[in-house]
Amino acid sequence: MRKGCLELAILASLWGGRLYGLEILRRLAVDSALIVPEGTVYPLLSRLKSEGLLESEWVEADAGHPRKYYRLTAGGRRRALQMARFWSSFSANLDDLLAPLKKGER
Amino acid sequence: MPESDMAIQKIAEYLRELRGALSALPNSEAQDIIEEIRSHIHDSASSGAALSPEAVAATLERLGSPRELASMYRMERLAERARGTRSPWLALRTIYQWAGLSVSGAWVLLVSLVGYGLSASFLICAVAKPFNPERVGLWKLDDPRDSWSLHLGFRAAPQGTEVLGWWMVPLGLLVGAGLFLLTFRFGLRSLHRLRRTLSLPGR
Repeated sequence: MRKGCLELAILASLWGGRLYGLEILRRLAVDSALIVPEGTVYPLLSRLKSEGLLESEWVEADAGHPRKYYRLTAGGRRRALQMARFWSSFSANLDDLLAPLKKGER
Repeated sequence: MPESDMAIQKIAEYLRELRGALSALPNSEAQDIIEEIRSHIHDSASSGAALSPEAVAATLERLGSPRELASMYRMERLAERARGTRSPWLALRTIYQWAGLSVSGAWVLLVSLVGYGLSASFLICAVAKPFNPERVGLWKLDDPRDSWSLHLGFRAAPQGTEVLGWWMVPLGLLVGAGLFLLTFRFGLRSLHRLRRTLSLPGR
């Protein structure tokens, strides 16, 4: 999967509120069946944070160790919307192009 | 040794290696990464309260080796830097780090160094000409095997005819500056291309 899609998927997973890394991974796996290599998500989260799209905080948890939670910044929400728009129009165009192929199946 | 101790030892070993592989990063940043990965391993590998060595091994396997993980962190940092680069020096430093991570980065670095080197040669000629007119210039050599020589004035003038004369100054400045700009633009474009492969256009 291209990195850019993963970027969008992560931003989208955080739309509803803060999550920590493993929760993001689980949400991607459950909601969208995206199996993401775990090693790629954490470096990406760290870049999205340094670009100012995400912010993070350490929260003490019952598990006995703190967890690093991420949430979207205002800039992150804007970027997620832009990317989502780009993605929708891209996939709509592709769908038009694929329409003849789908007819051909029958 | 109890199983959970073995698991904890495995984690510590993995994190120690990761710390070593992240030594290029500022200390606080590396520490933050270590803590986050530690937290991930514990969450991912513990069912209930106990950590089993098998679950830890599986989790570490999914994360990839410490070296792989660290190089992904460095690649992402590079992509982030590539975004804001405006100065030639910063661009070259970013390209230098890129060269340490991939072959295409090494190529871009090589081309950049050759470009800046040539540019510097012309600029040095232009500046040094007034101080050392006998030795600085562009020579057409007598030796037929090797016909042109750009001389910076560090050694005795070569055998042949100097062709540019005082034109060396304006031409040297012009060509030097032109090469500098070309090389800089090449570096920036390469960095932007790198950034595009890592990210989806959204604006």
